[in-house]
Amino acid sequence: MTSKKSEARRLIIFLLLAFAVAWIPALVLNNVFGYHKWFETNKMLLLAQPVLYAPALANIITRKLTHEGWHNSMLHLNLKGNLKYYITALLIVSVMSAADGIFTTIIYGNNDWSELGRYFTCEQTASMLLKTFATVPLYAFITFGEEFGWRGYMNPKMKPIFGTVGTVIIGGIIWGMWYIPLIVGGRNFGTDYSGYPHLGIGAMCVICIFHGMMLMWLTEKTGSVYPAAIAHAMIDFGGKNTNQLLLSGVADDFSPTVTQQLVMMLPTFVICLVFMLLMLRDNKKRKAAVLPKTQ
Amino acid sequence: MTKFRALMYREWRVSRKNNIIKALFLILFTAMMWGMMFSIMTDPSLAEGEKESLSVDYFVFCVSCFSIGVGIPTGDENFKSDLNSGWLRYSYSLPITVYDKISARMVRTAISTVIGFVFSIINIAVCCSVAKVPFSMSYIIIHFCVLVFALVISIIFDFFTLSARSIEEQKTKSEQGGIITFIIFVAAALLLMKINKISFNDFIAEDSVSFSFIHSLKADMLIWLIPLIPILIAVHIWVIYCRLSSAEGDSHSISVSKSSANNTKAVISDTHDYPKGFLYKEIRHNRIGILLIALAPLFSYIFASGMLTLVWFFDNAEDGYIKAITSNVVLLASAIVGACIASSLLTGIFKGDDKKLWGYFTASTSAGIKGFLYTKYVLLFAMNGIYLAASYFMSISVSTVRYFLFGEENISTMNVYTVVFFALLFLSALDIPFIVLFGTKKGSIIKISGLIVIVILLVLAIAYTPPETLDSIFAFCEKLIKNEAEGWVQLIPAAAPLLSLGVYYLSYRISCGLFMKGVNAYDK
Repeated sequence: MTSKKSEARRLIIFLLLAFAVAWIPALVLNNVFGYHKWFETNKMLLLAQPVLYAPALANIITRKLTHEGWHNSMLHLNLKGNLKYYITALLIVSVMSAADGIFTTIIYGNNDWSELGRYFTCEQTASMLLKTFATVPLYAFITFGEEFGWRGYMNPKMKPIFGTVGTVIIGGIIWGMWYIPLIVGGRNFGTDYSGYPHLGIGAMCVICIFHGMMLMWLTEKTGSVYPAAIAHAMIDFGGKNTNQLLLSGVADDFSPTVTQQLVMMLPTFVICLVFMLLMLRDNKKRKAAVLPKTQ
Repeated sequence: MTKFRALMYREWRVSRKNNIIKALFLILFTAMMWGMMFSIMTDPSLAEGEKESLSVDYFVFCVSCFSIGVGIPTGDENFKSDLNSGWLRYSYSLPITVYDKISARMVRTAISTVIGFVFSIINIAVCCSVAKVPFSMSYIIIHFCVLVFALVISIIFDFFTLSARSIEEQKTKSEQGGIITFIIFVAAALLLMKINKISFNDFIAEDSVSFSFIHSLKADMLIWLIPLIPILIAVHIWVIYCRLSSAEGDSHSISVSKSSANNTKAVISDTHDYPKGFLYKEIRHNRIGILLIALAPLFSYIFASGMLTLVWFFDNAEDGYIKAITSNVVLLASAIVGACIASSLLTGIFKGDDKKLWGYFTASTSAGIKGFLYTKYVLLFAMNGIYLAASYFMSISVSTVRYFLFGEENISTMNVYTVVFFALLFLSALDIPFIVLFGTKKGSIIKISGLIVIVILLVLAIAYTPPETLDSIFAFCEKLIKNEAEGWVQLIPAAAPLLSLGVYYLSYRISCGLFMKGVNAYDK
């Protein structure tokens, strides 16, 4: 059994590598080309790959440096008996976004449902949903670069030290902080908001904490990083577009502030809390199963 | 004479299945060419005289190439059978000389070539009389050109393959020979075009391919073509004699068999650290295939840009070469080539498992048939995913280079790769039950035969469909591809990926049902 000290040492090496491999090129590219050019266009996407795969590379290098081996790598599919979790990974982001859309209509659309379906016909909606569910999971090979690091290495290392709640909160903050060069460049929130960039970084940490609950639950249930990679791909590449289908009564020029964006995501946060509670319940059951029964 | 008759009978007997299949293909292909010819003849958009000459030239080129190509056995399927059965080594202990074996082979080749030649000439003569076009001497000369060309390919290919003394060696040398033959063929064709000042544009007349170059073949070419044929035959005999004169082949065969023996030892002794289970057996067994499929987009890009390079060089084109090879057009062309490579690599994971012993062992394990086929299907899906990821990295690398050199941004080709992913999945789903039921070799033949029949029927259907109907079908397809369709029709392209996944799962269930039937029917 490995000691907490050696696990903590491995975790520190991993975090140093994950941040160094991501931040150094990101800061250089932000200064030389600007965030939008190197990250959001097809002009030099090759240069963005080390940033996207930094956590995975950190995982591999840390295992090699510390001679950890690959016995707990979570690279197995473990599809048998876990298909429902893979399907959950595929659908949950769209369900959360749909809930966000309903909530936004209630709060910022004055509960006016008259414009529902104004922009998309039934067939267009069905077509969009089918394409999203069929093709977006294929982009999981891109988000695997992050999930193999965060859920595949960081969370299992943190859990014995900080517990489940601590792992989710601290892990989420670390994950959010990892995005700093991109947030400063304008990712998610732009650069034209009051409180830039600190409010954006804080908001990103909050989002990462809650998304981390869902992703960690998927990883723990299946013992595999692939469901988390699929769910992350759904977040990044179009799974959240379902909220557009349920928006109504919101002005066309409505441009939410950072705080408003967080408010619009409240249903997502609530659903993620459910996953958190499920994880805590599973932990309790596991502890109860391990402890000897006393009469 | 008795020895020669016996060897001839053996040659015919061993190759009879191949001969029947080739004959069937020849007849089917010729039938398709007749259909194409009639469709060109009835095309209202072409002028009267143009129709006949276009259709006859097209017919002549295709039928002559196929007939002669089918006649000459490049690669010699009998050699493979002889290696497999051990007859090759055994024959060195018999009272027959290498020249006896060569004579039997050359006579067999001559007979099938003459049959192909005559069949082609008869068809062309009938075609000319139907199209009311005079039978030209150039139609015979093209046959001699194709024959010379086929002989050269045979010589190069046999130079590589006939030194093999085991099936594995023969496979490796076939691949090497195939690649070198292809390179020599392309280089020679381009050199001939350069010498004769023929450009690629000469093959394109308005919006169709033109074969009118056939009429530039004059009778005086026979002065060097006819003597060249016996010279090439003599060279071919000499190459075969050099390669078959020894029972051990060349010195490479000994070192290859030694090194493969060493590899076998390493695998047997080195098992205590490896994980267990069918998935790890598949990964270990197919690690080269997995590596190749990850490199397939790179190879296909090199091939596509290589072809463009050759055209650029021989056509003396203007500047803009680097811009051309980093364009989306080359990326799309490489996607198509890569898909063909990936398709054969994907179904290659079933090679070697179509054996009775392995089938019975699989059925007896705790995972059983379902577990075994499950791992195959999962691996195939994963390899498909690896190909998609590798294609993406290839594409963004080329786009990055293009941006840094020219400041231009390529449109993302990820949509194309996604379509290729699901298309490969669909094709594999159709392929695998045939392989499971009939084995790798037979399954491929049956599947290809079925596909050829479907393609022929489709080509004939298209050829005889009225142009207005064809135009409306193409317009409909264009709308679907560009997402401009309305109503429930727009769900068709959206549902296609899910259909592929559904067919893939269905294929798994069918394969599970067919597995033991296939195992019982395997040859060994």
